[in-house]
Amino acid sequence: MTAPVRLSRRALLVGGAAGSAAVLFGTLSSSRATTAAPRAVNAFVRFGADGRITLVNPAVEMGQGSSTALAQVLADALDADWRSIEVAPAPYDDAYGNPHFGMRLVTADSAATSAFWPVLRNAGAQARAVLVWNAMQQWNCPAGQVRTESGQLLHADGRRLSYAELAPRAELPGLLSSLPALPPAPSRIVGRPLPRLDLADKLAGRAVYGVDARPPNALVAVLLPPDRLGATLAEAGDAAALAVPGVVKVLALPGESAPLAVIARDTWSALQGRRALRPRWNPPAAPYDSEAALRAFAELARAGATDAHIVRQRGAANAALPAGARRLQSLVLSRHVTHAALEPVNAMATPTWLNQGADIVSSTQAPSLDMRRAAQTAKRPPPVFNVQATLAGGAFGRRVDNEAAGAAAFLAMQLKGPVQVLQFVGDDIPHGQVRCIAAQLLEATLDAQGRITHWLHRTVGSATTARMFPDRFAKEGFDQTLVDGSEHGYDIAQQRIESVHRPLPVACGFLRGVGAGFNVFGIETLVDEAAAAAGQDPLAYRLAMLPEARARRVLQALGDSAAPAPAGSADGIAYMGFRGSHIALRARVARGEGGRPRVERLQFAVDAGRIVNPVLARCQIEGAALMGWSIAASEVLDFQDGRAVQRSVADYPLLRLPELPAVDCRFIDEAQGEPRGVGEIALPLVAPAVANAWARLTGRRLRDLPFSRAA
Amino acid sequence: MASTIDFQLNGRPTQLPVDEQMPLLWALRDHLRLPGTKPGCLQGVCGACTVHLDGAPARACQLPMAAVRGRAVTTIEGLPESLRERLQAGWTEHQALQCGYCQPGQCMTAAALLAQPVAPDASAVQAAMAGHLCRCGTGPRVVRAVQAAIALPARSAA
Repeated sequence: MTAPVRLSRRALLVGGAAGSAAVLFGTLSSSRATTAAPRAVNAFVRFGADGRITLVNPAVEMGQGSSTALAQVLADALDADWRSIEVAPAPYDDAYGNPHFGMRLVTADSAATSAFWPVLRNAGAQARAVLVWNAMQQWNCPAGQVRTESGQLLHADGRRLSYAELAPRAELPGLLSSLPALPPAPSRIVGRPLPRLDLADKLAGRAVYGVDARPPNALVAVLLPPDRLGATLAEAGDAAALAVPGVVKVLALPGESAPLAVIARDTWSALQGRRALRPRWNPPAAPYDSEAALRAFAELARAGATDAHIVRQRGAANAALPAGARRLQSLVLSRHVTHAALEPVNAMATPTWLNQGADIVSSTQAPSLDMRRAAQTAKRPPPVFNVQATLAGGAFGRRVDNEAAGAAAFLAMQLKGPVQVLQFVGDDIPHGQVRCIAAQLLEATLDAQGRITHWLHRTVGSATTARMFPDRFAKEGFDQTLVDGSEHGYDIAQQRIESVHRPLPVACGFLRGVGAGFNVFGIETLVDEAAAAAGQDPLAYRLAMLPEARARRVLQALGDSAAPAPAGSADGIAYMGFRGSHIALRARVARGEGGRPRVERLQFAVDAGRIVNPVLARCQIEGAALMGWSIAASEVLDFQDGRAVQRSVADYPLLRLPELPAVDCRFIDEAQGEPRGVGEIALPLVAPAVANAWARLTGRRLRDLPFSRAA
Repeated sequence: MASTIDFQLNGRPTQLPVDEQMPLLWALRDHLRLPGTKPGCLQGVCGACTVHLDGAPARACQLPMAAVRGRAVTTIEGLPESLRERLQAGWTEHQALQCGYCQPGQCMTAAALLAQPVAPDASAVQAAMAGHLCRCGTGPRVVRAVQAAIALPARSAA
């Protein structure tokens, strides 16, 4: 249950602060900017003097469309006219905490729409009650005489008032308990495929991302990371850099193996200065080699580890095998991949009064974590920092641990002036964050009827939370994002699922789909192999093992739309429950160039609970599917001698337009219940569905990611 | 070497005292305060910084200011309203945008396609748009959006 939204004078002040933020960070030139202060009904709803209604959006908009979807949730409960709705990003305030993240300001885990659904329904209903109460005062009538309809207040005697007329002069009752208790408005806006609210501004180049939020007086800092992971600075070698016109300073960021920052008056000077740097680095003791590390992970996956976290133990650990049992074993290897979000990783920091703290503006997924980052890096208490999130130019998990916020806070306080830190995508590929390498050992034992009776799944990877929150990891002993996806829904009597963490010298981060991105590949390829060994249809085989009704419904929906694959191609399926949703995929695959799989079509059936906006949800399924196929087919970031082998966007093998398959998607039970996670769920299924189709087509099982590295 | 560069920017004569080697991208963003042109890979391979140079799409990150002297640059801010409306209609119909960061660049390439005397066919649209990287995965929708924009009647010049 979610606590009711507070309707307080403090919320009113929050609303006022949000007003200035909207002008600064909404669009570059807002034709609708008005001088009159908007009225804040609660933290999430503002009534503008022009009659428009603004959602103060608690979630960061990074492309997932939740700013539009959450506006729909609010407008639906408010019974507003959709055309009167606007969205402004929330300022930093506890009122905008995400219930999914313990009320911290974090947008991740496909949780924006699902977590804020009850909050914004409540906020919208409250704003509607305020309007009805105001109409009751004006008409001097009881609540029963007033109803609402799409932005209109209607009196039983035929009088009417529009929200736009009443909202700008709406008063809050002295006692909140005076608000009428109304039956909910009929739902008119949730479930409709409305166009995104941010489309026109983004297309026209008017939308303001973090990279655009630098005031004219601010300096620019670009970073030069150590030449190898773990190297430490011996000598900055900055004489030539400091001689570049426009370069102001070269500073080493704090930390053991930290970058140098070149600070200049403009971006070009900073980049020129960085090119002129000649630093000397002390080499790391053991330069990172990602293939050697993956081999070591594979050995550990085979041998087991005494410190493994037991994710699930069902049945007796050493139960005897049934007569006639067959055991299938699979060793699955997956390599580093990275986010490649196009907008630079960025943060703009301005020192506050007497250089005691800083105001930070950034394309961040996690203002609460940025504040913590800034405090750690600049050695100050967290409350002296304030973080305003902007639109993000792609995130995919990269901007949860937004180290630029720490760098910018540190530099601003060193320089005693405003500075923006930029790490361009070409630098973020070799020096940013990665999905960890992972080795998985899976075993399935089949009885004489071909049914799986014993299941073992051991994943050896590297925990992001061990790096980001070492104290919490030490206490809890596992990282849920490494476990994610391994907790399958198949009814198997004897199960053991283990998660093993080993640290790596590279910064492992959260990447769309997190652990499910490899764990589900392991599970769904082995279940498919078991179905083939049992001589059964892979869809029927899964259905026979899945008790959960929602799981069965998505698989059955796939079955409903089955047409046999034409000669020269084959279909493969995969299923997963994740983020409260259930999703199944059929991939149609043919032999492509170089004897590699070519995907002809990806066909999804999805139960993601109530779908607030079907077209935007479909876009998320498509986008995650295409990213999933790019990752499965070709993406890899290797490290040799402590350095990334792929040094730039041109080196990093992203799939591009002509190689992208058609994606279609059918939502099941989309008008019921509450919304569930959408943004990530398509990604993990692509690799296993394609591998399963490939096995059917060629008899060969793909067990390595990416497929371009298949042994 | 710093010198004054004369060029046309969005239809206006512009003079900018600047390092001749500075790419147009930084001149636009840092000196002329036109942030609609977005920095991406800085290698010319992602297309986020696409502008028009004498009417043809060009990567602003790869154009030193010396190469811009005496020429006409159009940025997303200077795109004619009639083209913008058609593109926006196509993009709206197909909801061909997510984070939007690559889209001003995509829009500039699409605008050049719309300005062709003979409407490009589907494969030509796909080939032109393949030069743009969209990590959100909007590529196929962008191709459909551009085709829809091409199919819309051009508003007659008033």
